[in-house]
Amino acid sequence: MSTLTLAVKSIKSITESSGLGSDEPYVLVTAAKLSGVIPQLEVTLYGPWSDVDEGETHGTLVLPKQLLPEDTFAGQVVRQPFWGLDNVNAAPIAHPDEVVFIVSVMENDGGDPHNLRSFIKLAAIASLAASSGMTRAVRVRKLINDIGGIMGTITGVDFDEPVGLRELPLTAANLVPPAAKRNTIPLIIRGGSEGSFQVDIEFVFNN
Amino acid sequence: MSILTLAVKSIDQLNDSTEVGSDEPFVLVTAVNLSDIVPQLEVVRYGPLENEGTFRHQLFWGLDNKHAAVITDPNDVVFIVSLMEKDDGNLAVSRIIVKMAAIGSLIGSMGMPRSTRVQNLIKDIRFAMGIRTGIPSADDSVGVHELILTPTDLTPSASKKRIRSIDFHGGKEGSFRVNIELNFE
Repeated sequence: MSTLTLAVKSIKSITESSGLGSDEPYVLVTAAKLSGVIPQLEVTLYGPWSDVDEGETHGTLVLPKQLLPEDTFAGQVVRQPFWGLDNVNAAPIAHPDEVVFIVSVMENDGGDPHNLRSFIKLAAIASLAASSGMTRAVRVRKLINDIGGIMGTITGVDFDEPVGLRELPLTAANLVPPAAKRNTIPLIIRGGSEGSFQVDIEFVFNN
Repeated sequence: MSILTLAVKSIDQLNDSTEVGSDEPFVLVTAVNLSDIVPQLEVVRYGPLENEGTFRHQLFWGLDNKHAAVITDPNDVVFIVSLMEKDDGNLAVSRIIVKMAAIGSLIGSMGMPRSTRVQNLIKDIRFAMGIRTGIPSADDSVGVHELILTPTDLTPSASKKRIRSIDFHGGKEGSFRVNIELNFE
């Protein structure tokens, strides 16, 4: 079985938000391993990226493993893995159903993305603990609902605006290493007046 | 053993709050299955009431919010009904804060008697309801009550339906009656 990392490679603005000025989106990925009695879980922050205009793509910075985990480096958004759950090392995924990845996009106004990351982590742990024993489909539906709910909380002097969230769909084929040992899945998240973004998720296989 | 659904059917206003304008009450029902080691739990929001006094119908039992489920013994479940008056709070955030408080409460009371767990759960939900979720005016708590089911409640009636009502007397926040429908399969 291969080990792999998953990380946000880049974000592209498909349509701008209706607010004045450029957008400042950030991404929070909730990654959970459902195979244990108590799920393991981490929420990883990417961004905010500043001055993002329609049509632009903004990437993440690859750092040597010994400098991870870190979400920014020299002012750049770092490509730290959201899988494995230690935000550093590759880890196996035996079956797509044993993990769940929820990708959330926010627009930064006066809120604190690190505070929201903490709130989402609490909400996700509560959600998965409260749904133990339920089917995966029900757990994921409740997890999306609970993360979506907490994304509207106050985290600073002004509200950050939720753009949207969705599950990263994963199939067995996604877990077969390609010849190049890396692959990218685009995930489009549409937020109406808050803009629409494409989040590119990079899979890197170790063997 | 009964297979049934539970849902809030209606909210009746008994007395207005002292605030200017119409009240906008909403209900959060925390539904818990205590029969497993790790409790299963969901918090479902009803309201605020729209102009016609209606809100979206949804189940708080079964816990998948879609299907009827078994209740073998009334002590296997807990239903806490909370009523709030909406001002500038964020309803979705209020729901998840109550859910976080409830799961934290139940994990923190593992191994304790049911009565202690319920008492702690009510206390923790009440405090969570006081957390500000919007500005400038926070939503106001009207009250928190347990819906106590008896074995008689779980015996299907001829009509396969039963209504249980809980009255909330919130002083200056107004008084309301929450009507809950039990629907047997």
